[in-house]
Amino acid sequence: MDRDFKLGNELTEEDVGADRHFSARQASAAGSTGLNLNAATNGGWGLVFGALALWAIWWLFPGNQRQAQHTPPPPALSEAPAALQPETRKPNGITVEMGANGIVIKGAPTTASAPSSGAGKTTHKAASAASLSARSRAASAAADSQPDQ
Amino acid sequence: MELTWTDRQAVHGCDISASFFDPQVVDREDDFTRRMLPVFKTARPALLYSEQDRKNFVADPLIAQPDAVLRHGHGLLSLEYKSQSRRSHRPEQWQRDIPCSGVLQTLAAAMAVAMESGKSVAPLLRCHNVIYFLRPHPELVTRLMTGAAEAKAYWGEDRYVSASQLAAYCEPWVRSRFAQKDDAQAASSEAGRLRHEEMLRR
Repeated sequence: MDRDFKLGNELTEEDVGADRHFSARQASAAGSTGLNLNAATNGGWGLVFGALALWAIWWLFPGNQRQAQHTPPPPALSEAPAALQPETRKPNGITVEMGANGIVIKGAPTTASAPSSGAGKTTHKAASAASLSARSRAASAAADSQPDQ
Repeated sequence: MELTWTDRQAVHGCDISASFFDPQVVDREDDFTRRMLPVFKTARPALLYSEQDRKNFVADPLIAQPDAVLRHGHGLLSLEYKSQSRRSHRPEQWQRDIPCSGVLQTLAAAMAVAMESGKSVAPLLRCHNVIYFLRPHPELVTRLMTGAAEAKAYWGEDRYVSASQLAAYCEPWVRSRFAQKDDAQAASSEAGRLRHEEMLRR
């Protein structure tokens, strides 16, 4: 509807009168006002989603500022304070600790089980060392229980 | 000379003049103008197109086929006829009887005729026992103009949207925008509410 037109506002026996003029341009402008408002609304939503996307990118791929807050790597075991080292106390008085070079087993050392050097230091056979120690203690206890000859 | 109207009220976004007549007398007239436009006492507008001519008036994307287009003075009359199964409108409550869709279809057709002819057009709606002259509110005309493209998309039409389709599309908006409750309606609603309350009390 791109043409202006007139509707009669009065009707007599003789004529159609008091024409009321209607402009197609004004009507299209009135119609496009709604479209502009929609466009503005869409633009507003675009800004919101754009801001959210930027925030998500910043969060997922942090820049130098966030790298400065990076959590420092855990200290080497040799540097770790003793209080932080895990420790397990056995009921029989044997203590198993995490040493600087591996697991350290302490308590009730026997001659059979005591290593000659690097006392109690094992790196990956702590369980077998503990069982050896237990067996040696059992053997010494059995020898103590026998009457003197 | 002024025409004689029975009543004039604002209904469905239009300032409407109504002229009632006896349909049993008028429908026996042989002359088209006397039969279809009984509000005219002396004038005899010239019939340009009738329903049989199937003349289309196009104001892209609106297409309309009024029941009759007549030349009257320097302007035209665009006539829509809605017999509504020969149901008479009540002279005291015609505002409730006049079909909103018929009003809008009449306006849409008159707009198309006015655009194509370039002449001033008077929209007329003829019902069984009354003829209405419609003066639309500018906001209603603007809505019909802007709604044509929307109605075409709504009805899934490829090329044109008909006046009746545009009317059906815009009717809810018109009923909402120009809704009014006259005294008779208000009294009727109040009476209904009281009857409902009385029924619930039993």
